[in-house]
Amino acid sequence: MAGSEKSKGEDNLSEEGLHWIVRLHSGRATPRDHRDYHEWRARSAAHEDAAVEAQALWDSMSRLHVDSSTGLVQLETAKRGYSRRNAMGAIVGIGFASAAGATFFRTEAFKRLKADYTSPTGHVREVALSDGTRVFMNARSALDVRFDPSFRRIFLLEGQAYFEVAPDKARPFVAMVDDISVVALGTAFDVTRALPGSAAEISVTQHSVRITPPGSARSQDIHAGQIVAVDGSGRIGQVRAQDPSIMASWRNGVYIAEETRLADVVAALSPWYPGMIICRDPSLEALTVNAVLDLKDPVSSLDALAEGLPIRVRHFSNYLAIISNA
Amino acid sequence: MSLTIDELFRTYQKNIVRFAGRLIGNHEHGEEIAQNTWLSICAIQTFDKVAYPKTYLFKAARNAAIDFGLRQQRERSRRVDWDSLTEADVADNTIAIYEQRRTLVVLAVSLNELPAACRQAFVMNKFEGYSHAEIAQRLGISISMVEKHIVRALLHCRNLLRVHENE
Repeated sequence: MAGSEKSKGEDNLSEEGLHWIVRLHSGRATPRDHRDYHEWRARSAAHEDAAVEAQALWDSMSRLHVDSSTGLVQLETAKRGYSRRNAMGAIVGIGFASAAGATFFRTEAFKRLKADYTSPTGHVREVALSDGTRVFMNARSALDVRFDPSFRRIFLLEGQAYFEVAPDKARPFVAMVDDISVVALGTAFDVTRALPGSAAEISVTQHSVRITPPGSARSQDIHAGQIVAVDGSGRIGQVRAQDPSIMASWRNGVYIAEETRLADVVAALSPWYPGMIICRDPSLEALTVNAVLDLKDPVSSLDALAEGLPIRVRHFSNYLAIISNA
Repeated sequence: MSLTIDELFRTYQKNIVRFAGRLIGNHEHGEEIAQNTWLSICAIQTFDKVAYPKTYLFKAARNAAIDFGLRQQRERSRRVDWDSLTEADVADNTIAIYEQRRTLVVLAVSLNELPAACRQAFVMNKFEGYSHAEIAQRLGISISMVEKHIVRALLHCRNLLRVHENE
């Protein structure tokens, strides 16, 4: 039996102690085994320590339970585990949102990890590209830059960016959102992919851009003071007029909602909020919002929304806000 | 090239949810623990330099399960009738209670992490009171195999307890 001769180092002793415990609970331990065990324990203080450790390990497990249906060990019986839910609104909330969480990981966090340029949560980042183009990245955005002799290509991987394009007739400047291309025609323009209802939204503050959706010969030029959305299947929506100062406001940390869906407002606030904002009732997403919100203080902005809408915003720690029916 | 977090996520998300649910002994909680696992992985700036990302990932899941269990335990303790405790009780026992709780969580996670056959043999012995011979007969394995399973279970628990002892 293992608890006999080889006692080299504490680890061996500790293991011998465990072997003794197993032996003594085997259902065929004899009085002699017990005598041998006590004799073993008495050999040294280190033996005694090992025996105490092994015994404590065995005994402490007695407070665990085994679920008879799964064979898994649990801290408490299932019945008591259930009542726990009432005390744990925040945790249940996260569980509820786990499907959304899966999407969150695939998009925001992961894409940003491997992009050329990224911006952090809660801050605008200004980037000067090698051709002289200036890029303003909204919070939590990501883009790749691919310049070659014939094209200047930007891939907007996440979030929103505003481009002040340096003129270069020989090399067109193209912003890509997946397969949607936006070609600058001597321009300042804004592209976002952060809106829940569309694949991309493009607005122009100077001159014009040419938008070409994937697999389509039809392009659309839009001009200064206009905004247009492209949906997930590549359809270009209706061109609308948009005040350039509203388009530019996020660069100053302000968000202006004018007849904007709550879902879009939440999408705009999210990259400025360190955790997750969850809308528990999809019907709320269609509520119309008119407000000027401080992006730099997303918590207060959420609370401000709650004052003007039939919604309730609950904050759990600094990292979870849940929007529900008032 | 090692796997990126994105690729890991796509490959192992389902495994992590199942693994995490198993560790905590309740598959309802798998999603949440998996989510915490990914959050912890995302927080590591140098994750692309981790040599064995898959191993790292499953260790992170185990840690997330232990954290989850501890939080569960803490939440339960809020329902304790504090009024009935005396100050002396609290002073003497708070740390001990906390240590004990952590030990229990780590033990539960350790046992659930074991291969099913190993855990089953251990559970039958420790929690259901079967002798080694009875277990051998019921599972159709040798008595020495039963002993090996049980020793392995205890060793695994002891090792994990040592890792988490000083946190």
